[in-house]
Amino acid sequence: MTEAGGSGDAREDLELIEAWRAGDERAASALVGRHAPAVARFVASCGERREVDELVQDTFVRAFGAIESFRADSSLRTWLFTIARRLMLDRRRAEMRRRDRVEVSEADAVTQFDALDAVVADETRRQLRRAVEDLSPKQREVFTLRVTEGLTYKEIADVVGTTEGAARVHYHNAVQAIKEFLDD
Amino acid sequence: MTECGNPEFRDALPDLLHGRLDDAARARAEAHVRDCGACRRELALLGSLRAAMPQPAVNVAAIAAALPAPRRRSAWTSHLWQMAAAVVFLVVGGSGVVTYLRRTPRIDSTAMATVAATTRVAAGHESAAASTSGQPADVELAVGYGYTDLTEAQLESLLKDVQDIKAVPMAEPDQSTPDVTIGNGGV
Ligand SMILES: [Zn+2]
Repeated sequence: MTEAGGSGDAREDLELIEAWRAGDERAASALVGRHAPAVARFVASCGERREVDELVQDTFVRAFGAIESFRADSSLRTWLFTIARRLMLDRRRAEMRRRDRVEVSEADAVTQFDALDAVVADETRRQLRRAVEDLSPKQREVFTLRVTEGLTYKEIADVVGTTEGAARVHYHNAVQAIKEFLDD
Repeated sequence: MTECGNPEFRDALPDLLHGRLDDAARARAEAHVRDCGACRRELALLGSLRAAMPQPAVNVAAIAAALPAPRRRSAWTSHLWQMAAAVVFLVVGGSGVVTYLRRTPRIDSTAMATVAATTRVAAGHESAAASTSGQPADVELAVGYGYTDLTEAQLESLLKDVQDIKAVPMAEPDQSTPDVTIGNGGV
């Protein structure tokens, strides 16, 4: 039912990777241009607010440093999401350790989209973001990958390390929770 | 709010949103959404949520500049060269072993057996080369001896036979030697 997910895009990615490995620097820029906005969106949608650009850059540096371990049976973007997610988890663990040490009890700035936003365009958008912030971390990443990035359950399962069935359940629970949040 | 009675279509709403359905599936999904108020509302909600998500700016040039240099293809190419060097050595090495033995004053029967067995394998796989020089008989002769019972004279004779087998390539790389040969291959 679902299309191959842009197999033409996947082929182009592979060609660009080959070109980059052969020394073509423009191919690297092209690959970053194709995928960095989505990685940034994913990272921000999962609640990262600080140094998103740094995390996105780290994701690409890691990915390109280990490009030979990229399996062409998944899409490059899915693989980048997987790496970005791992970096986010590492960062959050480090953050938790730091907080434990200094015992800061500030509001969880990491998980709120709007905590550092001076201006939020309109109340509707604010409410929608709040509804997503209110999800459990797992629901949030699954929902983001499904709705914001349009991944299949199979791809989501690959990124978050679960099964397709579990991804589907997380997604529908997330939608249900968002509806309830907005109805309140 | 009435619920959608068709989980398959409801499940596909994000795919519809992202244009990831093939033509037939999209037509079916769109027809369902037209008739299903719950899916219509949910699709609208998903679209709004998608649009409401943050889109941080990214500096493509900065990220591209930070990337590590590609591990040049030459790594693979040089690997091929190493393999080629190993093959060359193994071909030459066939005679190298013989040369080594010829210069060894005391002949170790175990080593001798190895050479004989090796040349037999080689001869078996190099029938074209062997048939022109008529060596298979010599090799069979060598293999037929009880090595430990050989006299000095017989050993000399056997050695001469072995010497006459020039650079017979080994049929397969000997797993016990390549590490050394690749290191010294130095192409
Ligand atoms: Zn429906």
